[in-house]
Amino acid sequence: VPAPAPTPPSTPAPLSRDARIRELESKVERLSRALTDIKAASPSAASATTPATPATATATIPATPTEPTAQPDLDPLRGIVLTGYLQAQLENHEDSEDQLRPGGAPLNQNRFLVRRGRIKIAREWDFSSVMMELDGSTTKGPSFSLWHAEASVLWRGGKPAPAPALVKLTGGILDAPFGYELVESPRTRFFTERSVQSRAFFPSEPDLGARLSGQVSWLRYSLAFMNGNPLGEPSAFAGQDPNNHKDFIGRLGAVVPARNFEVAGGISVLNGQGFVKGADATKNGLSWSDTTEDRRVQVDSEIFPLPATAASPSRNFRRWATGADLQVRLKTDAGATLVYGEIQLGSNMDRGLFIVNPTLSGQDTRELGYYVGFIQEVTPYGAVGFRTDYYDPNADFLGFQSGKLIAVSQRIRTYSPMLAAVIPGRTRLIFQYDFIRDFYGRDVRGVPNDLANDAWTLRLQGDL
Amino acid sequence: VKRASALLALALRGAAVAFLGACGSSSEPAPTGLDEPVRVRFTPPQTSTVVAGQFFPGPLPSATMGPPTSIANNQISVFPGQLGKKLAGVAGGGATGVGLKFKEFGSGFWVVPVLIPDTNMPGSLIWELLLDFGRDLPFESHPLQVAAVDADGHWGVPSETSLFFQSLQPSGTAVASLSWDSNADLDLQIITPTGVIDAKHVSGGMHVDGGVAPGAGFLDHDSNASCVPDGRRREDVIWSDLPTPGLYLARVGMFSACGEPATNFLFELYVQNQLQLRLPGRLIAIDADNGAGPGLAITNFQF
Repeated sequence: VPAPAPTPPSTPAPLSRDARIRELESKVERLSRALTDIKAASPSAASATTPATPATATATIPATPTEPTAQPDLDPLRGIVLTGYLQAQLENHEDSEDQLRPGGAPLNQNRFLVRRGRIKIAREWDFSSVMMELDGSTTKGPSFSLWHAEASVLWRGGKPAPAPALVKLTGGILDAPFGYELVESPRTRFFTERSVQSRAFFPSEPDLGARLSGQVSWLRYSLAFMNGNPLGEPSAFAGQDPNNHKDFIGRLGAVVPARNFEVAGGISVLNGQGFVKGADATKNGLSWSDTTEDRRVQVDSEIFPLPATAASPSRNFRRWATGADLQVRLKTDAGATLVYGEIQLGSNMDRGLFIVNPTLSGQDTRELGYYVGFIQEVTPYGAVGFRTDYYDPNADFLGFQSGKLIAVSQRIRTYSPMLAAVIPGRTRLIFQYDFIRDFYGRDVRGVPNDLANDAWTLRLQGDL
Repeated sequence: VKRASALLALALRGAAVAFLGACGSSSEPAPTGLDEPVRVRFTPPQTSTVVAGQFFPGPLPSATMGPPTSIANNQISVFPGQLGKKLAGVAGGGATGVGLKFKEFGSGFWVVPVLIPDTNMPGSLIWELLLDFGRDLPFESHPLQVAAVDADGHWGVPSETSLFFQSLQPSGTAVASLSWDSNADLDLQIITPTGVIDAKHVSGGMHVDGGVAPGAGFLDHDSNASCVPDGRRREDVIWSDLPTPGLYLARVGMFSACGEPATNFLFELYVQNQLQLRLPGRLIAIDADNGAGPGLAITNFQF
């Protein structure tokens, strides 16, 4: 009587769909080979299982393995899962211009680029796993870097790999577990980029740290201590940590499936510490200010001393964020439907767009953002979607208008319709238009008004 | 079925119009205006950040009973390429912004907000802005117009001030100029019958009390020295009076490429403000010698 097959896990494995498929293919291949070996060896095996004497049995055992798992695995690459994808795209931005920014960066953003070209190699065992991902991009000039590097020990509740882990401790370069959008793979996401607020809070997904995560029935949890300086942060400390404090980031969530319907969601928190670097000491100097605008030095009135100054200390400041996310999935004959959204509140969290420095003003900056979107698969070969996101980088911003200090909105709202053509598991062709509404231009009266900075992206994604 | 299809098409069309209406609004383009004769910046109160004004193509709008404005201009003499020329004024009550344009040229006008109440004239508002000028402006007087606008879009009568653009070309009996197109540190060297004029010997070693000896030239500026970009990319050797007769040699040295792969240069010689020589050339990064080499000989000329 054959042994009963292990019960399949009731919840999805933590790997991506393609990774699970490759893992299963690898298993099937191993089992097929083992079965072939058993069939080929069956006559001698039969004789070996009925030995006349213990001595003859001893002589035949090495030539006739009776259990497939007893066969030594001679393929060192077996079990290694190699995946990858490439996102090449054409972008058009309404505010492009054939000029350069101060410093030399091009203002023209109408161009072809490789947004992401990633190769991931992973291997899972029953009690551990390792994964590395390399990322190539031409977004800011050609670059290639280590994007993820995760080493994990885990416990699957006695089930074999790749069953999901009940407890998993991971260290290395890993995604900050905050909300839904941040940890969603750009490979599976239909919208070309994360929402504006998510990119402001987290300029890039990965940071260095350690994470405890897992899933028990419907419960999902992920708790991490991280440096707090994501890899893509536009500061000198990206990927490093200038202060001793480690940011705590965590998410508690649930996934409740019911036939063709699934509801998932979670709440997230972040408690961290930002860093503002001090200034170096300066030497004595002189400054000339051409106040009379005659291009001549007036020694008595236009030359000013710049006395040497001592170095100023760097300072820390507190930052926090909290958020909630919800996803509803429905599978019908027309295809899968996803309706989802997320809201996040933060204080001094902007690290990518309106970078905060509360040590200067003495006031904390309050941020609010949310997005709501839906994606409808239309047969396996197409999808349509729409997302709107909102980000207010400073809920307390004040500005002058006609000599009066009034509350001024700095909010950015984006409407993003999206169309996609899909060859399942192979290729995606995505078109997305971003209607961006903000207050970064001025109308003819000098009053803040929307800046003409809409953009569209045509992306071709190929999966390895 | 036809009626249902027509209704569905109508509904879809309506939805599309509603969607575009919800997403759309009058957006303002924000070109840098780097190819305009003037660019405008301002500093919002309580900040130290200088912000670019908003550019609109077309002429300054006609006056429609809007608020008046005055202009305070301390210095009418300016230079092409000048950065941060200050201009201020007072606008009438209710003004939300001022528009600015050269009367004679430029493809559009700039708008900056009026932000500061004038404590000396209650009800009035102060505007302050910084002007950056293009490098190719004609050397003559040009009227500049400023008009105020209120929240209803009514424009006031423009006020005018004239700016006189002086030549950047140094005046002298003779001028030898080297200009180039990158942030590399290039040095103009002139071998004269009496010595060398370069960044280390700005007057060829011929000093007399009160300045340069008669017939000797002097170097006006060491541009991009030590790879600190100054935006000029130009050096001139100027002879205030008749140069010492004899054979002269012009050379260009690349002190440092400053990270630039190649630099194109232009040598020009003016005598009595008349162009006598105009010679282009190119240096590449491996030509950089930290001043140790002889430099590239451009040409000989005789005074």
